[in-house]
Amino acid sequence: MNPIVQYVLEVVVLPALIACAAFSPFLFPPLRRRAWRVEAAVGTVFALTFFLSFITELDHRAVLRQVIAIEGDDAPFERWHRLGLVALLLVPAAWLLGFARRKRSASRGMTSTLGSALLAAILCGVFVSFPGSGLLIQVAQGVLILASILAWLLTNQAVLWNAWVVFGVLAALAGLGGFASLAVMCGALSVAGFGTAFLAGIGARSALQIDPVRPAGAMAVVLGTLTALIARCGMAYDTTGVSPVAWAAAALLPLASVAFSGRFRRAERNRAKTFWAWLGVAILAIALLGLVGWQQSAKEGAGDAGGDDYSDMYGG
Amino acid sequence: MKPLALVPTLAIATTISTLLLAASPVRQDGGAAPAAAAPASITLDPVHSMAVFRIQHLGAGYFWGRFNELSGGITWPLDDSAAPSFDVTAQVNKVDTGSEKLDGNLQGPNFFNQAEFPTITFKSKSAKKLGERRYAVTGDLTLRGVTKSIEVDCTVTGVGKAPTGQKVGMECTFAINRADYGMKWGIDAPKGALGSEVKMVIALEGDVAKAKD
Repeated sequence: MNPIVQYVLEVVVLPALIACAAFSPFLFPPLRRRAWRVEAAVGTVFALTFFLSFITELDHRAVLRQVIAIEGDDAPFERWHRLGLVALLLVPAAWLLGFARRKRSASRGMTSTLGSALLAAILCGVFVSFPGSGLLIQVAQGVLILASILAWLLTNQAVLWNAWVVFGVLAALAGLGGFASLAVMCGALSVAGFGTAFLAGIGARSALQIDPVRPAGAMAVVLGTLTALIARCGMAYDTTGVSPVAWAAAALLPLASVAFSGRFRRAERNRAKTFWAWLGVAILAIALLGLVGWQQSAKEGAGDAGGDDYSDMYGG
Repeated sequence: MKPLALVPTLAIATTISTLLLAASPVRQDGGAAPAAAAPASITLDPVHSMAVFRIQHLGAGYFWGRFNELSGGITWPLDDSAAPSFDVTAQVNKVDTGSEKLDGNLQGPNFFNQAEFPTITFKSKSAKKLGERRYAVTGDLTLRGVTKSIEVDCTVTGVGKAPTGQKVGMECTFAINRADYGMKWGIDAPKGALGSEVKMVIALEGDVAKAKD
């Protein structure tokens, strides 16, 4: 097999397939009928996909190194490897959040979701820092996580198709930013978005009166935390001049799902509602990638004009 | 004794002592061997010092890149009476492959991870003379936060003069396995995209510090 194809299969496709397959029963009746379980399971699919892709791309010791000293291990401690640990911790967090919401009313459920979002923002602000971070940047990181979680809550029933697009955009930005490992991990998340959206669609057709998968708690917290932290990581390690604004915009892309909300209300069928909620995100995603691509091309063009400095032959 | 009788005696004594002194290996500086020159402090000239690396791409051609503007210093007696010692630093953001995009990729976390490890350093610990102006220098290479002892083959390429003073040039070569420093991307995944062995040629040129009056 071609090594590149094998690499993509191992790091991008396989992690997503394993996670989707393991939790697919929750997208079909009878497990599908409990919203909290569906949320927790879908949240787990994304967190697990990232984790599996991370340890396939790097090594499980990259995660272990974040918490313990490994005997005989002289590999460097790298701050961005904390993403793998965060993804791992999001798996039990998704089930805890889902479980906590299971019998609550909508308003109390929302309070619990907002509380969880705030907690995630604070914990990540305190324990996840990338190079060049200071107090203000850590606060901004926490705010970005909070905003991203709230943005995912707005995606409603298009959440999974939007995950496909948003993580695809993050993968493209990471690729443009010279960060191949992050790009493939985001690619895996994008495949997981597509996979869960596809399976959820089949699951909804398999029985009557099945609600679409909507983010109300665990799913939004997992997606928002991953999206914002990936964007922050991309900003911190960017070496090719992808603007921090582009990364922040990518983390908040789910907000665009309200762009066609007027049309959304008039639509009758679930599939049409999903489509309109997805379309805003897709259009903004294409616009964002187009803008970043154009900026990069312009920069590369300008770089050709540079010359060598021979002014000081003796270097004195 | 008449004073005139002393003249031949003095002449003979002076001649004998002069001959003896001329034939003696013992010099008038106290009898020591030729004095070794004091080690000169050589400050690297960043314009003319660089590290060039070579790595195999896709199992095919050898790809070359370089780190510009090395800094640091060398200590070495210009008469080669002792081994040189090195303290050299390369800035990761000075990597230059001729492609801005590739430079960015190399500075990213998959390779040198400039954001976390902005410098690469080499500090010599000991040296063994291999020949005239040629040494096997052992020292610590710190790359991506990992420090490992390596042996570097160093040759003094010349001592020259510039309008600003004396210049010393050296060339050092060594090879490392980049996976030893946590730089594994492209070795196993994607398999064979980039080789694991990196050959380095370090060209150093520095200005000899002027002696204080």
